[in-house]
Amino acid sequence: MAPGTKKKSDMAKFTFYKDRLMTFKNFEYDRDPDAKCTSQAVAQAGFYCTGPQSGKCAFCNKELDFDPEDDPWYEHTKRDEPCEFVRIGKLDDSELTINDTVRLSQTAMIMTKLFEHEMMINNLSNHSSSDALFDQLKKVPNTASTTKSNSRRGK
Amino acid sequence: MPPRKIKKDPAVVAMADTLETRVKDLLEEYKKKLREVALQTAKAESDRIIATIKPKYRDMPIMEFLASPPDDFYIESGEEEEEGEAAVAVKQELPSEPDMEIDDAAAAQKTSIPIGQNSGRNTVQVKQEPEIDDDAAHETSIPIAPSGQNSGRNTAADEHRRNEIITPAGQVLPLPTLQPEKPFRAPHVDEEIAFSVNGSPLVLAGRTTATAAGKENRKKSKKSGAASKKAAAAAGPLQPETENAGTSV
Repeated sequence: MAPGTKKKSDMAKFTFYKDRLMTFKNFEYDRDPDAKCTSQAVAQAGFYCTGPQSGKCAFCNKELDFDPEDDPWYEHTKRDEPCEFVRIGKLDDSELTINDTVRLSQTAMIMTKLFEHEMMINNLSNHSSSDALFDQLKKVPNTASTTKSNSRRGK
Repeated sequence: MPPRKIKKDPAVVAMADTLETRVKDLLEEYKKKLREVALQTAKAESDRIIATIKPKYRDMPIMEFLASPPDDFYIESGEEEEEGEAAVAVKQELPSEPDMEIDDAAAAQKTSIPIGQNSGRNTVQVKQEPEIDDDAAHETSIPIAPSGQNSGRNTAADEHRRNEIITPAGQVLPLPTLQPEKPFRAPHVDEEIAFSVNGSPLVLAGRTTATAAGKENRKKSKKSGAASKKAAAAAGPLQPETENAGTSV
């Protein structure tokens, strides 16, 4: 397939700044003239919008709630978890090379899949509380007694 | 009176508590491992894709690439071209190979003629060989006499596709369309032309005495035909009633 003919749906959605910025419709700090944490700054730092004050990194699944005086890029870099976008460290899309773009898009795609799996694990974790497990254990038939009653030797 | 509390089995409660901590620990561990594997996969997959791109384009700005993507972007395309050239070179060498001697007489007959002159005939021979495996086809094959009469006629090499039979004397006999599921009917006494193909009596359409005679005879032949249909269905595969019923060509 020719390089330019790849479908948009197959590519990572938020690899580029423009696509991330488009997700910010009603970001709360855009109305505040003194706020440092604008939608442009948040999108440039690799986040897409997940709420009126929050954003999520497309490359490490880090979700942060911002304050008006926050520097999104600084907040992004000070976290312990490794992020490909932070490692590359190019906030302007025009600085990105093909090498960088491939790495970012691959990371974004796999992180999207990872997020789906993490949601499933969280769901499973919620169902593994002691009360839920108690209910599950109560439903399990008492196999020991049934085998005893069915045994001919017992009779 | 307040509702009664459901008593919990203490053994089950203890079991559930123990399981809860273990399951949560396992899930947390699974989450960490999954993230590690995801990062490794992303790195490996990126490396794999980048390896397919020509080194000179890897540091090309993405905006420049999106504006005008180069044609020779992938390494694979270059390799394919090389492979294609190699394949063409091999093909050019191939025609010199049929010079080798073959002891088998039949094979020698086929290969003794240079390929350039007889390539079409060789292909026809190769196609005909599998049909010989069909015994019935082999038995019913009737040679076509080369004459002026059969020029322009349906003289296909496949004998099943011919719509006429040409006798060695040059007489042309039309062949009705044969239906393999419908068995041949037995020839009647008043029918004039019937001949045997592969031992089975075959009555040619429009050659019976009934058709030549008129309405009365036709009605009779219809009745006799209806009766013979039942008889044929009951009898199964037909055999010639008498040896004189059919005359071989």
